[in-house]
Amino acid sequence: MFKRRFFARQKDGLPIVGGAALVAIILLLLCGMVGIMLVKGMQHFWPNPLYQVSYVDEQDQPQQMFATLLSRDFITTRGQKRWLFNQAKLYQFSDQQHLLRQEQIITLLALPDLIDVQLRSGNRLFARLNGLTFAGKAVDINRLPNVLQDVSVEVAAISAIEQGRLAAIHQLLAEYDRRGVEVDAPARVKLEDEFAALMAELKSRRSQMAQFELQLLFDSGQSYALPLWEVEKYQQINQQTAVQRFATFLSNIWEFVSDTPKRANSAGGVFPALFGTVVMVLLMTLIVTPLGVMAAIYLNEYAPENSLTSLIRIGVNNLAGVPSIVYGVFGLGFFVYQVGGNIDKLFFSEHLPAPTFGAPGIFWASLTMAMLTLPVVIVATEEGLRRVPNSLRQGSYALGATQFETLWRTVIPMASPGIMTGVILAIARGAGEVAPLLLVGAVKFAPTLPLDGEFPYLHLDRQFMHLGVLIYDGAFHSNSIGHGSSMMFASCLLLLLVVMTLNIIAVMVRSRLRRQYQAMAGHW
Amino acid sequence: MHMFEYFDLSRQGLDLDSLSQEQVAIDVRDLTLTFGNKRALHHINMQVPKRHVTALIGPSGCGKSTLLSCFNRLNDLVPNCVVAGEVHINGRNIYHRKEEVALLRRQVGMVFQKPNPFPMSIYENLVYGLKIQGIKDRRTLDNAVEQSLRDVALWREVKDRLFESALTLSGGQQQRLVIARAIALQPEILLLDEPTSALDPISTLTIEELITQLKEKYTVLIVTHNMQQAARVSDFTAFLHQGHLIEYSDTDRLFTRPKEQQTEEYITGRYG
Ligand SMILES: Nc1ncnc2c1ncn2[C@@H]1O[C@H](COP(=O)(O)OP(=O)(O)OP(=O)(O)O)[C@@H](O)[C@H]1O
Ligand SMILES: [Mg+2]
Repeated sequence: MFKRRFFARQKDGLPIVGGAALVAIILLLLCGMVGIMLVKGMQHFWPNPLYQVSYVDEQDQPQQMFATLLSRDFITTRGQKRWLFNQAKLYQFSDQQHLLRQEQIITLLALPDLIDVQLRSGNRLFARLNGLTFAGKAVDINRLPNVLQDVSVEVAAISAIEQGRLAAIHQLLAEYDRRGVEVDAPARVKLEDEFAALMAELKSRRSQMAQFELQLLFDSGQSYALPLWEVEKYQQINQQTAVQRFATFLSNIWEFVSDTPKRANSAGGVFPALFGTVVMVLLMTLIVTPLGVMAAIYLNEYAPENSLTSLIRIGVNNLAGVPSIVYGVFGLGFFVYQVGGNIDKLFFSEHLPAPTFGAPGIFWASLTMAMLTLPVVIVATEEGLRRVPNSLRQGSYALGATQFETLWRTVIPMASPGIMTGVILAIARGAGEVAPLLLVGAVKFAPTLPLDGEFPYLHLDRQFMHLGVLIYDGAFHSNSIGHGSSMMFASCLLLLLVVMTLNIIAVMVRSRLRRQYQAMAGHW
Repeated sequence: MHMFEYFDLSRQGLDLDSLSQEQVAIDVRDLTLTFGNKRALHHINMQVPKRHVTALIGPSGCGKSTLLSCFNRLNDLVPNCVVAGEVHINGRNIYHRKEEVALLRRQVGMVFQKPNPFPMSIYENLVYGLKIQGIKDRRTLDNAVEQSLRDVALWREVKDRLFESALTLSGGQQQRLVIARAIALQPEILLLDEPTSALDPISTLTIEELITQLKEKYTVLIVTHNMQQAARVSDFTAFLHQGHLIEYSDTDRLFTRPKEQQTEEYITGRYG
């Protein structure tokens, strides 16, 4: 008796244990994925110590370089284990990676005067700091932070004048030229004078500023005077305390999410891509929700229950399985070339042959993604509509409501959690797709944002950057082994965060709606 | 005890066979209804007197609900439902093709077997029909809410929680709420389809009392499976069987001296 019960229990238990194990494995995989992104991504932000590396090269010649150590056990494509160093030199467009065998390395010195300099040009260099000079005379090196601050303010002031008053005068003078105003007309002369005066002032301010120089020593042994105004910021990592390093870490993260990409997307930040992703997803949501809801309402509430309707329903369900690249091609062929081309002919003919809407852009991208996510929204909305009890519809009709009033006042509000489920799924899918975007508007680098302070603020025709595209680009076209790929992991992490944030917002909206229309919880 | 007082009041000397035009609320003439090829009602003829309670009884599936929803044309929602014959309310045939159904449903309110308040506040439930008519004036709405709640004896219970969800009410309260929701439109006729079958005895009693009071203002038609209930609250009773109207007379006579054998079998419980 006891035995039988035991076995009966075990029989019951087996599928439960199996299921639990499966869930655990899935959870583990998920955590592993997020974990790798987290570790690899965070590595991108953590300041690495700078080393003076002395080593012998393949010809047995002693060499020296300033570099950070990215990995002690990097496995090359040929399966060899190497030390991976990252080197940044002046006038080199990107960081360089060096692979060394352990035997090659002689010493690894974290010299305190090693400095990591970020230039305004986007370049970066590692060197030893030898001093700060003004017009050739040494300045107390401890004043460097303050001096750099002053110089930065001056640079900003100069460029403000250049882009403000100077540009305005320039424009006025060009205007005079066009109108053929005499060269010696008093107004013109006055302007020319002001222009010359300003130029002179700027010149002197510039040369004054250029007197500040950083005295550097490169790994080749060559010394170099770097004008301070070229420096955007610098770090003496080897001198930093743990707290300072953490601050650097945080500021690196901030730079990553708020700055524009530099050096072919291998450095700097990803703000335009983050922004582009969010704007694209929001636009897509704005398009797909009303379309999907209307289609679902038609199918569920108005369409007669016949074979045509069920055929449409099967079609919609299958649409969800169409490969996304097909949507991309459709978007390019139909939206961009057909629709966009015709819009250009009708409304923007003065710009032709340069296309306005006849070229890939954020609106077409959002529209294409809306098409891609439409089935999801339709199916979820239909499910929500089906769950609205018929007794409520009857109650509404019995009070003299028409079908539309019943839908609007009772059925749609009650189906709104279902609609939100569709929106959540659509966001999750839409934020992660890359393939169709490559065809209809996302680019590796876009000089402008799709949304800015310039009229009409939302530029639907502009191309945009997208995190997914950036990752794709980074994964396949990056020639640098270390840095570019750690940036890619960081971008992945950010993309995950974006999708999660958008989802959490949608889930919160849904649970609010659920609470409001709790009737779903089996009240009838 | 006062329930039996109503019993006596029901006999106001109204004779179903000689009702004047003004005394008739619903005049059913040769009504036949089919669902697809299945006939649910056969040539029904009956006159429902104004401001009385008329009960519809009969075994399950005999067509009581179907007949009831002919009077507010809720059957229109069933795709394959075809109605032949005429139903006159206020002197016009409601199956005339020019009939405005939304208007009709305001005049003929309906309450269903299970309480079906909308998942909104009590207040919003009550003004649902009025808002659909385009009435926005706050005072009018407030008055309608209070009056209809008083009519169903719910005012005192809910006056402090009008803006709470209607779903927080008990089953009996919910049923009274949906009756109030129908009353708020000031209908002439109230159709009640087994309004107490989902309720406990106390709530049932409250609703029954309510029904006997409602007939002062409204014509009430009630479907019930409970013979005692029919006897208690109704003035007239119609017995339906397999879509046929077998017998229709004043309640007292139908329960004490039924003319038809089928009726007698049903009310004495020998049916089946
Ligand atoms: N939508 C419909 N489509 C087809 N047949 C229907 C439909 N609604 C009702 N019927 C049929 O019409 C007949 C009458 O149904 P009705 O609901 O009026 O019975 P009822 O007397 O109210 O029964 P109950 O006491 O169980 O509520 C039944 O045989 C039922 O099967
Ligand atoms: Mg019924």
